[in-house]
Amino acid sequence: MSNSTTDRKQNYRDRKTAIILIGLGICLVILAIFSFLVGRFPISPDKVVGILASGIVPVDQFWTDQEAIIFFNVRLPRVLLAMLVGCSLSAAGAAYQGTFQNPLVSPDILGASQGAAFGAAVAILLGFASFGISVMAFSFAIVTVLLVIAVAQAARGNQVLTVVLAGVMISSLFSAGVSFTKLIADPSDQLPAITYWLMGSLTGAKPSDVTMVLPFMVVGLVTLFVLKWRINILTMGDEEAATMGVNTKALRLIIIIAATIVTAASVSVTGMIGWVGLVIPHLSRMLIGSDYRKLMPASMLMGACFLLLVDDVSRLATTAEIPIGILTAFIGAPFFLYLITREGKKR
Amino acid sequence: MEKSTASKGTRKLAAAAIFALCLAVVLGIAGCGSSTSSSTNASSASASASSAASSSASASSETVQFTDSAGRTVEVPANIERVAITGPISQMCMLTLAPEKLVGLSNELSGAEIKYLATDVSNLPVLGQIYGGKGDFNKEAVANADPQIVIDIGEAKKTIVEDLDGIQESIGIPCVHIEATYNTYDQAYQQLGELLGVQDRAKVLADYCTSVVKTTDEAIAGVPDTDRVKVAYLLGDSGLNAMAKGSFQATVVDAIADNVAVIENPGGSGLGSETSFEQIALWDPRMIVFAPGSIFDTVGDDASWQTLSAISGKNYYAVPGEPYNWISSPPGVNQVLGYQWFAHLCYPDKFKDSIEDMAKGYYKTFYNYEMSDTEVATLLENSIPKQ
Repeated sequence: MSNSTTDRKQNYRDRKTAIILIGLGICLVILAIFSFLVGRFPISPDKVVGILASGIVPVDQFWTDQEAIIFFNVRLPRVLLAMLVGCSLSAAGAAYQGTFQNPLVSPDILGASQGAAFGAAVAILLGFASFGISVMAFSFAIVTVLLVIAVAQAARGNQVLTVVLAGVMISSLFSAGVSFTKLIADPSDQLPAITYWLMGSLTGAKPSDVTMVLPFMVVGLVTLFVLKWRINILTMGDEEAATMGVNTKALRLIIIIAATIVTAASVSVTGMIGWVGLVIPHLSRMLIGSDYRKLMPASMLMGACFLLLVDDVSRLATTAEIPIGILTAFIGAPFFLYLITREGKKR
Repeated sequence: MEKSTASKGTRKLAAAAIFALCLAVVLGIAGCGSSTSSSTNASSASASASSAASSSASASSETVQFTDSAGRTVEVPANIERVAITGPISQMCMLTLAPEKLVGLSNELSGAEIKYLATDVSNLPVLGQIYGGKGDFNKEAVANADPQIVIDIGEAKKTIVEDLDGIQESIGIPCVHIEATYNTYDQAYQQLGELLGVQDRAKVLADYCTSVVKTTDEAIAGVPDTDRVKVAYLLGDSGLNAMAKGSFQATVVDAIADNVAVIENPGGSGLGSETSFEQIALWDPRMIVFAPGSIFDTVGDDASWQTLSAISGKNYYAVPGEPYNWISSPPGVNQVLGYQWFAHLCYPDKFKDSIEDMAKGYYKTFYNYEMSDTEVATLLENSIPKQ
């Protein structure tokens, strides 16, 4: 009797989860279609449908060549990149929050963003083109996190604490490095270029950017998705996990590396976009609970929706772009404040 | 047990030692920095000590009242031999007029600047700038370089009076502002010539400015507003930053052509405002000029950019970048050259002289640098219509 009620409860919960995830999926599809249809350069909806269809089936061209090229080379990669980056940053944020058992952690906790910023700033000083800047940003992000892991391995004591501490310290070191590059940069062109990079933007999204970051993101995201239930074990704490026969050290390392790869890939093509990785996992947690089997896919979908929406504002609102990093922070910071005051009231 | 406390103790000692070492290294670096700068100061000071000694009687006692462009009346020495400057625009102007009087630079010289400038001033200490995003003007270093006057040249910021009064008060050295925009450099040079006692050199430069601005003004005055070329001036590593109409960096473009980049609240950034390719396609400029270091080289092979009439019609150019960007970033006396170049580019049939000859004349007059034909050709390779 009691068994069947728990079954029913379980069933109900599963159905609720499924509905939420499917709902988020539908949201994303609708937002993506909307984003395809709008832009500063007017392409009428029937033409967009025609251009999209022409990729699959032969359609008599009733649009100009320019419209097709702008759609495929400018708008499509930008929409795809917004979804990929939103998905990646949120997944990385959720993974880090679970791994470090700390809800206030974001993807830049281990210095990936500051490392990338330093790499990009140095590349700008050296006069690299956009591809070189991306490569430098990506490499420095990875190197920074490897450095953090190496330092944490050498240190004694609580592994979680040493990793986070090393991350904060090395992050501040690179942040000082960025300030130094700003100091020696040419004030008329290099300095504003660094400033723009630090504000984050998707305006330069090219098809080659998508193909460049896609492999990294797929590897990282698939890893995080596959390991999602194991993050649950990590959130219980190391001793608990050890009694269950889980090698927490190895598991944590794999998750950190996967999350770092997707963060680095995102930051390398968009510049700094803050708050997404902090805020979205929390929103998802409110919606679906803290079971990572549900939380991870929910965060991924919601992150993609959120960044797509914010980027639409960024590219449509004014003639000039509003850097997306500013918009996400405008939305993210008040939410963060709300979150910590709410936590305070609970106590 | 005892052993472990002992090792703890040594470890603590070691940690303290490492920390002390780090501190020592940092202090050492700082010390080195200041000692090198003080030694250069010492050498320049000793070099000028003799001149100061010989003219000290007149230099220290005689002063005159000088009213600057901000309306401030300042008591300045009658005989000025030692000048400090407040930023890149002032530096650019002073290097053409009287580089030998500089006691310091606002920012380090680029390789191109050193190549073109007749006098080598690259060993002067860098004293920073009061505007331009950094605000690293080092008052103590300026005072230590011992100038008789601090000069700010260019467009006046809103806070110019209090800014200069503040510096003047804190270091006890007179500060003056000389207003200058691309079409008023003749007056700026005259004022500076009288202030610094270099009237002859100032007259040469002022006459050049008067004459070329007049010629160019007259030529473009004949072009009705409706016939102005629709131009976009694009910058940045993706070419997606546009210099917005009305921003103070876009004065040359705005004066000559129809700047298509109409943007709400443009900033004063040297990199323009970030925009998107869709927006640029919507503006549909007839001509595009790319800043040095932007995407001029690759834009011809890019499918998206090829859809723009300016690119497919090969009506796009790179702004020459040596020793400075010719039309902006920073907007200084370089614009006197850029103004002529851009007008020649937009309305070639309105001018009799070639861009090459015009450039040679400017480099000769301002930098005392004789440009060979090959040098001019290299410099202007992407900046003039291909024959």
